[in-house]
Amino acid sequence: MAEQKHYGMVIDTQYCVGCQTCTVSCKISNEVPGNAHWNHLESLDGDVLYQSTGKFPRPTLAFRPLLCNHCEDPACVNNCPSGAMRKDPETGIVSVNQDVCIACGYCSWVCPYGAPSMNDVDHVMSKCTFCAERVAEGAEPYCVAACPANARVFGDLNDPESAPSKLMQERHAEPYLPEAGTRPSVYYV
Amino acid sequence: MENGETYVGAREPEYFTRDGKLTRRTFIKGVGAITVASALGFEALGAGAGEALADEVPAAAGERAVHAVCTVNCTSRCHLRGTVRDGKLVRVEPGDMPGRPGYANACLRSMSYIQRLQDENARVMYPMRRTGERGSGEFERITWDEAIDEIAEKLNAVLAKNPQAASFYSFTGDLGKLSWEAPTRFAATVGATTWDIEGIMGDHGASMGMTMVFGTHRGAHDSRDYLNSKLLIAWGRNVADTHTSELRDYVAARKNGAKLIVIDPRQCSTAAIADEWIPINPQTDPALALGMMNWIIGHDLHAKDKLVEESVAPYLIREDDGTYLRMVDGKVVATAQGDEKAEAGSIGTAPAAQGAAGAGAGTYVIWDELAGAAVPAPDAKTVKAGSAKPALSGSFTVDGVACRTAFDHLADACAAYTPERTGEICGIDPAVVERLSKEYIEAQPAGIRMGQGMQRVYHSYAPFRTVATLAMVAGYIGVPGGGASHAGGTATNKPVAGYTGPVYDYSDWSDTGKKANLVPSSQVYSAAVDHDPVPIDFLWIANSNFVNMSPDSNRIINEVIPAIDFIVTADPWWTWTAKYSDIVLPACTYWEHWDLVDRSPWAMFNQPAIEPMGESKSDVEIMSLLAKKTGVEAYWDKNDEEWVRQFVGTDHPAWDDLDWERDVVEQGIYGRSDAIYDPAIVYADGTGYKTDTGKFEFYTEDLVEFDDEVPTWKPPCEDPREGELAQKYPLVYIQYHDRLNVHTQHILNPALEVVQDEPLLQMNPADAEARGIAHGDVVRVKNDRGDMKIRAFLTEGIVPGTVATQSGWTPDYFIEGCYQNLTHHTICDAEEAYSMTNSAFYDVLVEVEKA
Repeated sequence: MAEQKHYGMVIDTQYCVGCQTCTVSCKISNEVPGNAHWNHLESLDGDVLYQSTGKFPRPTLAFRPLLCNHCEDPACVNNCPSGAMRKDPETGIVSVNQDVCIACGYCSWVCPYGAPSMNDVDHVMSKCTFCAERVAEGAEPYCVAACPANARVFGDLNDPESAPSKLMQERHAEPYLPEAGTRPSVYYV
Repeated sequence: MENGETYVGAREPEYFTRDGKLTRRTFIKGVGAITVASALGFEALGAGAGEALADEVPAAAGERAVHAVCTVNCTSRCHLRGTVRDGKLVRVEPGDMPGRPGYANACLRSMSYIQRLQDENARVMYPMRRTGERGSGEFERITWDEAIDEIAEKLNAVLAKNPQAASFYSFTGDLGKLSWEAPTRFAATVGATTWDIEGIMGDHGASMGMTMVFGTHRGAHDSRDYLNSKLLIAWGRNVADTHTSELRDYVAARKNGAKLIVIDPRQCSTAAIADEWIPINPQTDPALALGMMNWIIGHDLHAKDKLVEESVAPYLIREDDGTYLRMVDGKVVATAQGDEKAEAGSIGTAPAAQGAAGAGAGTYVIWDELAGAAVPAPDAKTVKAGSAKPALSGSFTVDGVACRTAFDHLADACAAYTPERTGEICGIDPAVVERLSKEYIEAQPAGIRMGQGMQRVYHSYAPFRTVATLAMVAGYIGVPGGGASHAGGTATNKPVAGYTGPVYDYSDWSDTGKKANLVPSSQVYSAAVDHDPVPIDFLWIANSNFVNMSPDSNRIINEVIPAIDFIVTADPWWTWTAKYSDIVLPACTYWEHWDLVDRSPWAMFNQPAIEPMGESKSDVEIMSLLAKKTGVEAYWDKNDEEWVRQFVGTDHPAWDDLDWERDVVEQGIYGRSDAIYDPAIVYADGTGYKTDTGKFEFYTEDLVEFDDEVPTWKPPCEDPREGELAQKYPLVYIQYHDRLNVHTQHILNPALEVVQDEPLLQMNPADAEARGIAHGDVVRVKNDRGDMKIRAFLTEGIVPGTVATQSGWTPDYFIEGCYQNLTHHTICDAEEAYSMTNSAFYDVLVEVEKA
């Protein structure tokens, strides 16, 4: 059998405390320049991050961490006019070839998750790589290793024994915005 | 500083950033020439790094792994793994924790800290001499020789007159042994004054409360023990942001089926993953604990066996003077004689006064129902064995002296706290008070993790003391999955049979010739202004942003600082405090010098991962330079590395497996050979209490004169419930430690701007509406001491009647003013008598208006 991987992630929002260690560890460790961010955080059910929803004394405080969903049918790849965006058939990882990218920003506009983030230092698109190099060496992506609540689980979705596959079997996990039709590889509990 | 231009606007363009929040700062208030650039400092990141994709990152061949232990005072002490490339730290990740997999942690602060500490605009780069008014920020660069000569001249003049008029104030900015203790050790070598740290910084209420009941100021269950809990209560403790390394265990406990309840005025980060958030009015936690005890005792569900075995519950209290009844040779004797408090701790680490464990234990008295007589209080083992049956309750006359049990005093104190009254004080539905009480006692077991959030109040010992007493009444002290814990999880080591020597060799470090004059830090203002109890003619500040993190900053600036002739600050950062100093010396951060953190069961090491920035030096180097000019160089004959090598150079079996190259240099952490890595709890088997009685001591004889001998709740000194002040300033103001700052060291690491880029006033929409304030409005928060202009952040996640900001922001980031000029420094007589006043940072009334 070919060693074809389908890397994916399950994020358990029930345990997300909103600290953004994921955001910051990605930014620092991947040396993401300028204002670009490959992770970001939203309120799970409201408009304003860190604002509780509902009514006192029983409001809700919950978060949705977002990153590239490394979709199976990625809008960024489908709409990239330069061919810079590509999906690696061996791993499922979506990446941008910065030598080819013309910084038009279409990928960022069409991505339902707002994942591609303009590197405003070098004026070229940048995005989450699922820490491909680390993953190739068997390490977890930085955001996963850094999460102090172990809310992120990463692995090969083709392997039914992988941690994310098992978590998806145990718990009801769903992609965010499935209606966009991109078939994400990131699922949320 | 010559390099003082601002970079506002330099980050354009900002297109396509989809990080949920545009964070570019739109204003930076003028703060004097020295710090404008430090407010941003974003250019530190990626200077020359350039590449966007991880798969384009240069091969690891050009990189070097380095290690450190984070020494800021969040109560975690995380082992960090860094990466250095071209002499610069480029990333920080969690470092391994030998023997405890799954405990590796690095928070967002420690990761982004490397941006700020390598930013020469944020750092103090050279010795600087003030040229303008204090606070103006006008300094000139001088040489180390000039700086030390000038300081030595001032210091020697003071030492010649009165050594104690020279003060060395080292707080918790760097808790590495060398950094933390070098300034106070220096004070000892010249016989100068040092300051017992916890009071003014607002952590001492916890220590006092713990010491009253347990006899020691710390004590916690290993957070892994919460896998044994059915219920876990984080009480005034936002563990997710303030003790991040333990969060994974809370998550594991909850996955394991434990219910997690957070009691907090704010729906804090930890509440986001809790089963329930119970909002509580600030300053009222003891009332809730009393209400819960009342419900538990009223339903006859209290742990009677444990109370008579392990606590002072059956101890007889004299009706005439409220002291413990004491008997010697079968005769009642007058009150306490010679129960001396053990002397406060060593240099730089002075804890609350600790009880001498079991001192005079044999003189206390219980009523033995088997014998029908008053007998000396037996130890827990004897009671468990059935050889004595202490009466938990009742009135007795012994030798003509009328007595009641301590438990009856406690039960009486609880009786007033019906669910209705408790609910009214705490702002909690009485039905919730009852349900919480029921859930807590029925959980069997339930653990409580207490936090300093509830003790920055007047009578600050009450919260920890009362909540811990609740845990004892419920029978959860010393029980797996239970406890009332404070600070980091207990780590222990195996006793090594036959070996009596110390693990660490601190003999040279402790040999200071003279001795420091240790003064409660609650008295630092009166010392400066009134020379009471000591004058301050020379002040050395290290590891502390004193002005920013102490109460009533206007008072500090207008009264305290002008009363001090000469101030030196040694700090890595251009702090608010540095700007009010006469000489500022550049100090190293923990990535730049050798140091040691003894955090059993590990020894954790710092070593120079990068060259010290500018001309910065370690605290040991700095004190050693000064020692040469003050005649005490004999005590300062080693450099940092030599000290560390000496510390771990004993033949104690702890070091059997130590390989310096492998463990210290390459790993930065050593798991001791004598360590126990399994989860540990405190007070197992009813033993280990360090109180005078040797028991869990909820009856505090020292507080009889303050009518506070058993746990009580007293209204705050600025009471929102009634009075003129409450009319004028009806809102309670609290400051909380959040994800961005431990104190002020991390302000504002560039990578943190995405999280939050200015201080915000959290406010319930109900309070905002009444004042015509909308989300995002600029508001003025004021009281008679000061004010601040800040943006309002409306959220249902805060109790009405209370507003809150994040602690640690520096004045540079407020539109006007600063949060710390709202707070006050009010001496509490009971606390001074017991130990020292704890700053009541959360006992503050304000009014908020649209600016």
